[in-house]
Amino acid sequence: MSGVTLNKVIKRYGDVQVIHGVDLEIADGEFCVFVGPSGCGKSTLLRMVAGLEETTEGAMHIGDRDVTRMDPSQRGVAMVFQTYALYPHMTVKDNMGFGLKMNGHPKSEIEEKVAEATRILKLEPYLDRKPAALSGGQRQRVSIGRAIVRGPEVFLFDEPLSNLDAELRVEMRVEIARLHKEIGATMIYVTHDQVEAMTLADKIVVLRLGVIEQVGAPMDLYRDPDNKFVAGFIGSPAMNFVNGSAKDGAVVAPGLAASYEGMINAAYEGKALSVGARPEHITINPAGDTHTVEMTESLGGVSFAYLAGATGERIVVEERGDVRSEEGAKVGIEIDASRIYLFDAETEMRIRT
Amino acid sequence: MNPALQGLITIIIGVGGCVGYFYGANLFLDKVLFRAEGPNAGRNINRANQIRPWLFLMPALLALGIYLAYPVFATLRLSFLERLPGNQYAFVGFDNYTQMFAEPKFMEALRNNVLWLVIVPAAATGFGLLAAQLTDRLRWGNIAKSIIFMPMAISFVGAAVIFKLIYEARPEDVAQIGILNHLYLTFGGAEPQQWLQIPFWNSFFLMAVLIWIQTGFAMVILSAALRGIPEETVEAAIIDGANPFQIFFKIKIPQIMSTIVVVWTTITIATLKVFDIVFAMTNGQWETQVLANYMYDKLFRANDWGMGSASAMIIMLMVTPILVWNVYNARKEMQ
Repeated sequence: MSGVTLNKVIKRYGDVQVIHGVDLEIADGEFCVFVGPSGCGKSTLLRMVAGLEETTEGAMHIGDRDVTRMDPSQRGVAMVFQTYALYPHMTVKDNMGFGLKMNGHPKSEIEEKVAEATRILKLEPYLDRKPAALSGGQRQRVSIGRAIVRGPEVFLFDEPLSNLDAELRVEMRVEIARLHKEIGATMIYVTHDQVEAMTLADKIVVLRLGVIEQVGAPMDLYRDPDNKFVAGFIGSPAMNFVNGSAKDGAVVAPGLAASYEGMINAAYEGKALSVGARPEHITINPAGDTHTVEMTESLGGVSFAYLAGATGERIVVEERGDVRSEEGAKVGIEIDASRIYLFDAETEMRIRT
Repeated sequence: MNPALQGLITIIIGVGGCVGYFYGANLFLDKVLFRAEGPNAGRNINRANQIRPWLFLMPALLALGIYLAYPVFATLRLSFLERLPGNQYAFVGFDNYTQMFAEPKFMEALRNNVLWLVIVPAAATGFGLLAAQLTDRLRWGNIAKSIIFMPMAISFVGAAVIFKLIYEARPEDVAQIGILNHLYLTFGGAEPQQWLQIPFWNSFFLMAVLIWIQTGFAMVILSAALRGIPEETVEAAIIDGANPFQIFFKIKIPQIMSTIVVVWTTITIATLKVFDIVFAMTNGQWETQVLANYMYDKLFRANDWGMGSASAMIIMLMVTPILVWNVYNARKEMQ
């Protein structure tokens, strides 16, 4: 019904191309998150969906309607900005009702819809205040309320929680998830925070330099990344990568002081590989002596040990339980071979076996 | 002595004197009066810091006191006196004021001033806002702004001379050098007009000069204010479906309202004091008199110090509330 479809979408500023032909399908009612490092084009892509940036080439559909050249107000989208973008001279009530007023809806209908959004977001006590008299979290709520009131087919969120402090961010994250359940509309959410991406998304789109690296459900991206970039981007702390090579049918990874049999076919014989292992999949063996513990960060429930191997490559290991390694100690590491990810060192693409 | 040399020496003495005063006074405070050492070092530092602001403000306070505060009271006193032969004065109460209010020329000046007061700030702020908004996104916008701002660099008298040439009228059989008459004749006017001698309308021709000058000022300040509006609020309004006019009037203008008020009142004050333009162009003839020029007439031409001072008091009475409001708004905006 009101899913979003992007077809070979391209954005150019003069001669500089920033979005390189993105194909994407977002189903009706789906919560889709764009993630990527800064400058990857995720905000630009969102603003193109909103209509704030012109689409240079390609087509864009919301539901069955071609919206590629439509005005932002006609697309049936509402946007929540990182800086809230509330109108400072209007009360909370007027802020939320502004869109409907501009589109000539009768006063009684505006009142009704504002009241409904107010109820959903529990904003009743603040209706007659100006934005300056609200806290950051309340302002973002009003901003979300303004989006709800317009009754859009697609909600667009542009890093909505980045300006909030850590505690509020968690609270608002839960709130947005609840909102999605309650309203059920399609939502597109831009963030650079992978925790937000993992927790909120039905579908994550990982972008880099204006190109989609991978699309999938959060756990699929975590378990089965297509390339080194996605593998390194999803998961915290990031996946460890060490240099390796294929020799006599086995993967040799000196940085992990290990070799793995039967994981790679003969075509890669002698080629350079990148061997990846997640910190949470490595265990420390206190009896070994292949690695030196350079530093440990203890967060309570877990601690992270930074190890250096014989090759000088550093790897991070997550430790749980009561016994944690100490700085300066000599240790060994153990990894289940099924938890090893192999990447072509040159193309950075995943080598699946 | 060469005047240039004199000027240079004056500058050196003036600037040197100022630097010397601040440096010397500060040194005296720290090293002689309250030394920051010994058993009372802490107390001395506190005392020195309490005195320092006054020390630095003193020259300014003194100058303002002598040249601004004192004349206000002296003028107030003069406005109640009548000058008698032999440097004698007599107290006459409100006679100067009643006599002045009975004079048609004064009422004309008052009426004109009110007209100036309504039209000039409104037009200058309006044109300034228009120019600021229209030049905002243009590639050659900065050049346009520089040109619009340029009249600010011209003195009122200079501008008056320029506009006198624009309004110039030559006999019918001679080529017109005034552009207004030239245009007027080109577009079907019967004969050259003496623009500055047409009662009532000539005031507007004078106002054009001040509007021409003040538009640049309004534009520069309002342009900065417009740029200060968060872009996201405009984008949110676009998504909300507001058209460009609604965005301008309902989103942008309210957000820069306090700046508009400051610009408006600042121009209002400049307008209330208008003197040079009228003095240089019509000298108050043909019903163009304004208060400042009336005051000058009374004070320095008719040598009627009493009535001159009384009219000065009227100008001050009109300026003060606007000034207070202006300062109040400017402060509010700074916060």
